[in-house]
Amino acid sequence: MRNALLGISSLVMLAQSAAAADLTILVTNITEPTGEVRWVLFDSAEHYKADDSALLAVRNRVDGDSMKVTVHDLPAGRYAIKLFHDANNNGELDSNMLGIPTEGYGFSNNAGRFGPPSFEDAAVTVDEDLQIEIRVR
Amino acid sequence: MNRREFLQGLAALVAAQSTSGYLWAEAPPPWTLGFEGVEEDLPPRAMRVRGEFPAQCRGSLYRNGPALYARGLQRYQHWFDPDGMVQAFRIAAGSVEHQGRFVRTHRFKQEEKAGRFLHGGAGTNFEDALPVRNNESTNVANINVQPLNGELLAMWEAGSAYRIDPDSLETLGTLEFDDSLRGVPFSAHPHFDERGELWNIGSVLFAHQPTLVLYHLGADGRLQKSAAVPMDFPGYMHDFVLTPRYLIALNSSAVLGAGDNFVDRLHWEPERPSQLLVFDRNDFSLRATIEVPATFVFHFGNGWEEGDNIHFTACAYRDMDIVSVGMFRLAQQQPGPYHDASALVHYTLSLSPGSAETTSLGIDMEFPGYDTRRPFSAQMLSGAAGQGEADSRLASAVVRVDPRTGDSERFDYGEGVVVEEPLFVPGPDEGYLLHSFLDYRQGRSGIAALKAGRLADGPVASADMERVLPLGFHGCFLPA
Ligand SMILES: [Fe+2]
Repeated sequence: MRNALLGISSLVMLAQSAAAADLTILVTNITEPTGEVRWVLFDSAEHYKADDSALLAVRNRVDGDSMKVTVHDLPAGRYAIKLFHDANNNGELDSNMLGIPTEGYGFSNNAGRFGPPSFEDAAVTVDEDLQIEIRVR
Repeated sequence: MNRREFLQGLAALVAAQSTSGYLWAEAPPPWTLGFEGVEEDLPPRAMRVRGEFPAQCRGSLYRNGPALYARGLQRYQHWFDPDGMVQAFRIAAGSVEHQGRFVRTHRFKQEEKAGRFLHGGAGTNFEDALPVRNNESTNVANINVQPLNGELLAMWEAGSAYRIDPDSLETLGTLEFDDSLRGVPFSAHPHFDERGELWNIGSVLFAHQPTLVLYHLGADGRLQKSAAVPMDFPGYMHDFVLTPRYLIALNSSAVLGAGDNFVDRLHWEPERPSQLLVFDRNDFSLRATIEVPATFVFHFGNGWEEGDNIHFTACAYRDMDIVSVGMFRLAQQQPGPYHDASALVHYTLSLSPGSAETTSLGIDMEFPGYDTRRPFSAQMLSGAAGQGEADSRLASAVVRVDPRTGDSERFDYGEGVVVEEPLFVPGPDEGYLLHSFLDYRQGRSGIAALKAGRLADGPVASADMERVLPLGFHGCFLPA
């Protein structure tokens, strides 16, 4: 299904240049039918690592076990996405007493089998319209 | 522990590379039938009964164990790995019926839908394995099944317990306490105290700070208290000892380090002493850490106290070859043996100053059992002993031993029959031992009852069927 971006449309109309393209993100394996998927898009390894100055920070209401969102007119470049499923709408990736995440999360390229992936491992190249799948783990 | 550290620790539970199935050069040894696995739930089936089960043995014998070995061309390589199936043997006057049902873990449901294994196992890697959310993502609930508050719990050792309906064997969900304990390991060997309250550990080796979680539940299943205690090193831990005043865990010398999966990451460190961690039951404070020579133990007999001394028994191994070699060879259906049999050891602890004395009882047993109505009494232990199956180290005998003297009795079925965990059932005189078995020459699984004190006479009753059950681990008997 298709969810509207909660952000205002101007936020996701990023570029007017001729090199711009659309990035469509298919989020799958959403195992609880509640809350929001919160995702952030980075265009640099520095910001990705520091977890600040994201190019985009978006919240999409969950409605089913998958969702599809499109970022329009993204300048050509390398981008990486981190997301988590805030199933109980408390604004946080919940964890237990051991610090182990108990809500779903994911990265572009579904990278990071042995830990959180580097920007390089998670990054995708956008130079023409592209659809990627992020499986919530 | 932050998320980064956690995610790095996840390597313990995740696949890294593919392993191909074992290809036969010649016919497999016949005992490998016990590691074929099953692919479907096993609907109720009447068994053939021989002799008459004593009235005290009427009720339900429940067992759990690894059962789903393969999906498509993927096959698990280690006995720890396959999805758990809870078996019920319903023993009535003149009839016995068997039923088996896979535990519908989160993992089982996801993989059933996908038609393949999505994640690696404790000892198996798959090439196309997907990343996991946390330890709970790979929970297969395949080690033990025990009663709690009118339900059953199917338990693994690195995740939550699954609640099971004792009549239908349907999976009801996970046993939850509060958000802080969600997904925190609840190990597979909880012990009941004299009031029917339940105590357990949760071994968190894979965390950046190795941690032992302690649980105390009321008979109603509600959490009374819990604690998270940092450990000096991440030693493998499977079972523990409960006494009237103490809870004793063994931080073994099989230590989690680098590797491709959980089993591969366990390294035997013979120079590193193992630690007996003695906790006060009242407040879970650590009363003593007692070092003992490097040892490896899955299972302990019951614990008791005499004055200031703590007594218990352990089925001890010289090293961890049973995990790092033996359980691979068994699951891969390869002839052995690849590990030594366990030996029953009697421990006597003193707390001030902390010391441990050990006496070897010279009994080659595993799967210790006892009269759980009096968990803190020095009493006879039962077990499965390994005499007849030199090739596989699988048990062929039922044994009973006095841990104070080493006096024992046994019945050996001989090669061809694998004996699974005997359970004590109260009855006249010294009671009964009830156990499941696999007769691999006949291709039949079954159960048998023997009279305690008269083991050498062999079974007083048995039931079997033309249905082969995968060899499993632990269970319980609930009288009718
Ligand atoms: Fe066990």
